[in-house]
Amino acid sequence: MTVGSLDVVAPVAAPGSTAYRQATRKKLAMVAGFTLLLLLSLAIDVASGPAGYSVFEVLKTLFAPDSVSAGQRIIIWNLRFPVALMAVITGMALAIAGAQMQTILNNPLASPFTLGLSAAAGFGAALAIVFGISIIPFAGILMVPINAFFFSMLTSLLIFGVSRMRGGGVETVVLLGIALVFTFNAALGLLQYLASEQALQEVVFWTLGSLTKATWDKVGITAATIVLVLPLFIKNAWALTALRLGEDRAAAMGIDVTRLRLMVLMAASLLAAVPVAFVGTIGFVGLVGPHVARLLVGEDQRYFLPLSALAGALLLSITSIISKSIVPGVIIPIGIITALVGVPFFLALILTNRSGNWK
Amino acid sequence: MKLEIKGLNSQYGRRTVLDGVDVPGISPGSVTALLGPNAAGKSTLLRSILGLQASKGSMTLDGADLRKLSRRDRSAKIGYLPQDVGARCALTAIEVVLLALKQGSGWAVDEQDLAAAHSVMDDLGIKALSERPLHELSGGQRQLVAVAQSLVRRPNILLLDEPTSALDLHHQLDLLGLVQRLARRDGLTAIIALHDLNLAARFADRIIVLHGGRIAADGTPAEVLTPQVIADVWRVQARIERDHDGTPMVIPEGALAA
Repeated sequence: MTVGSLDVVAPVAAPGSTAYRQATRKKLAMVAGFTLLLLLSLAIDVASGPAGYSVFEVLKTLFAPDSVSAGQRIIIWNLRFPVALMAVITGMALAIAGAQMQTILNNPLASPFTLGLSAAAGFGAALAIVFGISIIPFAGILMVPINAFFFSMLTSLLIFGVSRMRGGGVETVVLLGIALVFTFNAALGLLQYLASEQALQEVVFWTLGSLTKATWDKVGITAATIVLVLPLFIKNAWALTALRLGEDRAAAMGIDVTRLRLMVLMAASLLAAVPVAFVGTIGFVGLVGPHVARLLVGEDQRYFLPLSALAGALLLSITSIISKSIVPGVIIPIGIITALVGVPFFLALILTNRSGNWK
Repeated sequence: MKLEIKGLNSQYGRRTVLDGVDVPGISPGSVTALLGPNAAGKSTLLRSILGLQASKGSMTLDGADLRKLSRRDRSAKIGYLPQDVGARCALTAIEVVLLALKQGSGWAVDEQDLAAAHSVMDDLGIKALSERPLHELSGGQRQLVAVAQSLVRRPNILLLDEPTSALDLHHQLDLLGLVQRLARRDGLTAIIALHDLNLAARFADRIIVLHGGRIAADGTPAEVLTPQVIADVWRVQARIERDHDGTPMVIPEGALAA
């Protein structure tokens, strides 16, 4: 070995390491930049609405609550902030779920929405809302999210099973996802037909996907879900990245591929189910977020995962601002907007699937 | 490390792929070529040694049962290059090589990690590609990146499954030459599945021919590469000539009728 640099002891930089360090700095800068953009978007989101405030007033309410009126405090603190934060947290959860599903299924079209997890979670939640049927007895306030999780998990296991079968290629899995969306939507329709008027209202509102019923509790539970699953992803960052090279190469690196896939699939299902249980079906964020991140920092999970989360959060936060700005005084359900923007993106992905980063 | 295999059986569903394969001690510091027609069981044998494929029979490393090693220990001792290394993803070449090095450790990549990765890539002549994303590389370049990945942990055993399939002649000679040097210098035990008989004859110390899941021949290139073996196993009529240093050269003259 001519340029054998194993003998070179740190901290003397080995030749060639500069380029790697440079690339790393670029990726970190990207993560920092997205964090700033997200904070800015969050502030604008809180400020915008029927009673318009400036970003400055928002900051004033936040850092000097005594200097603003009680009304302003209540509007910003109890109404605006939960909604704006719910957009951020939901965007993060869905994008992380999407990123990991794309990774473990080796499928660029995978996301909670496209694979029917959102629809399944919706059905489970409606079961709780309409009939009070709970998968786990006496789940109380958590009945809706637990039901949502149960059905989304069931769906992801089915998809996982099919993806492991012969001929379970990228397209098969997506087609199965579409079939599942139809099935659960039909089941949901049946529930709606049987529902009481009050429950019906709740279910319909929920199928459109809306942030307006967000509360601090819901923000807290969703955030807690992310915190709960994050250690798994952090611990397995190298293994998950290795999975992108194919099963054999990952296994040759000592990774228990089947176990990793199952654990990550469960975590991703949970991440997909909980926000859906609270804000309804919000599509495409979980699909687009990871693709934006992949384009900017590649698929090293150490950067890919945080940037996916940030991109998803930023997307949904911006969408939240748009949902309030299209018709003055009216907040359009956010799920409608993400679908309108997401569908062209989804089609573009299908049409360009043959090239680039996927086999 | 000395690898020994006795009575190895393996099946895909009901189809027997390996049928009582015995490989007497493969000695450290040697290069062994695994030859045989398509579907002879070459890949399955390599995958069995690694534990990717379920199998029955005895496999020992310096006398110790290979199956009793933990997943992590086994992967540290055995480097493996699968046949299909076409995966295209948004990772740079250096990121791919580092992956093998960093499994099971923390997030930080230190100078030693980078030095180890760069040193292996330098040996393979792909250091200049370090920061290039995989999907921009040619098939041959991706294959070399995968080889670098399998070598970066300095394994005792190296299993290469058709490592030259996407390489041009120059890189074929380069790669096998490097493996031979590593065997001689570090005592690496290399087992390489190949299709090119002449490449095997040039670089291997020992050739094992698999046919229908059984060992058809095992010995030095000169012992194994005979017109009879080539006719029996490949159904090809061939003439053997000798190079100036005695290396056999197979000159195929035509396919034999079934």
